[in-house]
Amino acid sequence: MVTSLNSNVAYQDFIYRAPQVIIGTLNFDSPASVTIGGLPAGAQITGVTFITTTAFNATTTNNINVGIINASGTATANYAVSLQGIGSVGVNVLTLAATCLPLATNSQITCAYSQSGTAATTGAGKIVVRFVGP
Amino acid sequence: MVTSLNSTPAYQDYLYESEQVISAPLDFTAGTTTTIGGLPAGAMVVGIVVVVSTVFNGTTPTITIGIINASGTATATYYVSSGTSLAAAGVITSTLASTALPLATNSQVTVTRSETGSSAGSARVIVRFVGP
Repeated sequence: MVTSLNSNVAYQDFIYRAPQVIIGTLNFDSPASVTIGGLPAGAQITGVTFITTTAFNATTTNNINVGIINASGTATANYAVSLQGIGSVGVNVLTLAATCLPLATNSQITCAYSQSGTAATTGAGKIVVRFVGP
Repeated sequence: MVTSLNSTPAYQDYLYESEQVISAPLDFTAGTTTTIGGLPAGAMVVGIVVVVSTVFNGTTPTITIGIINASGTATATYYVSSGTSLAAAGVITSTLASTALPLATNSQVTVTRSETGSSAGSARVIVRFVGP
């Protein structure tokens, strides 16, 4: 009997020597962690942009974390981006964290909305993770 | 009799999951508005860079970057509203406007010059985007 299946997202790399992107959606009511794609070992994230299409309206802070789940299943929620603001409508170029280094293992890429104050009732956007292959 | 033809630029997207660019020249002989490319509905611009190789020598030479949507409605400041200066040579990163959101319709991308009187000037406008 089959007891395990590979249910992870595919690890993306088109092999050409060019920047590639993972695009995902994050809303105010998304799950605590959203998996938006997968990258192979050695891949390097070079930039993350969040395009806020509907303002996130938590009263104090409206931030995003971008992280990984490595091949062992260990999650690091702020591996690539740690608590950068995405509240306002527009294109938000996010600062990469110091931990955003070439991936040690095949990894899933995750993002999470983090808020404080009175909880948000609106908020939506698209995340664009730019990366290069190993 | 044919009364209309599709004379607009093709809507660009090569379908690979990677960043793409529209790269177009602009010089002092260009008209007020120049169409530099087309993007499909849902495309998202993530950055715009202007490379000024020869300074535009007119009065306050600046550009805005906008769209003409599928209905023909022009919004000249959709992507860049603050006016990127062409008065100094070099690589200039434009500030994206808060209206620079995923496109609602297939759209043409336009550059609008606000200056007058340049007798010199050469630049390249590079629009970085991702597909829908």
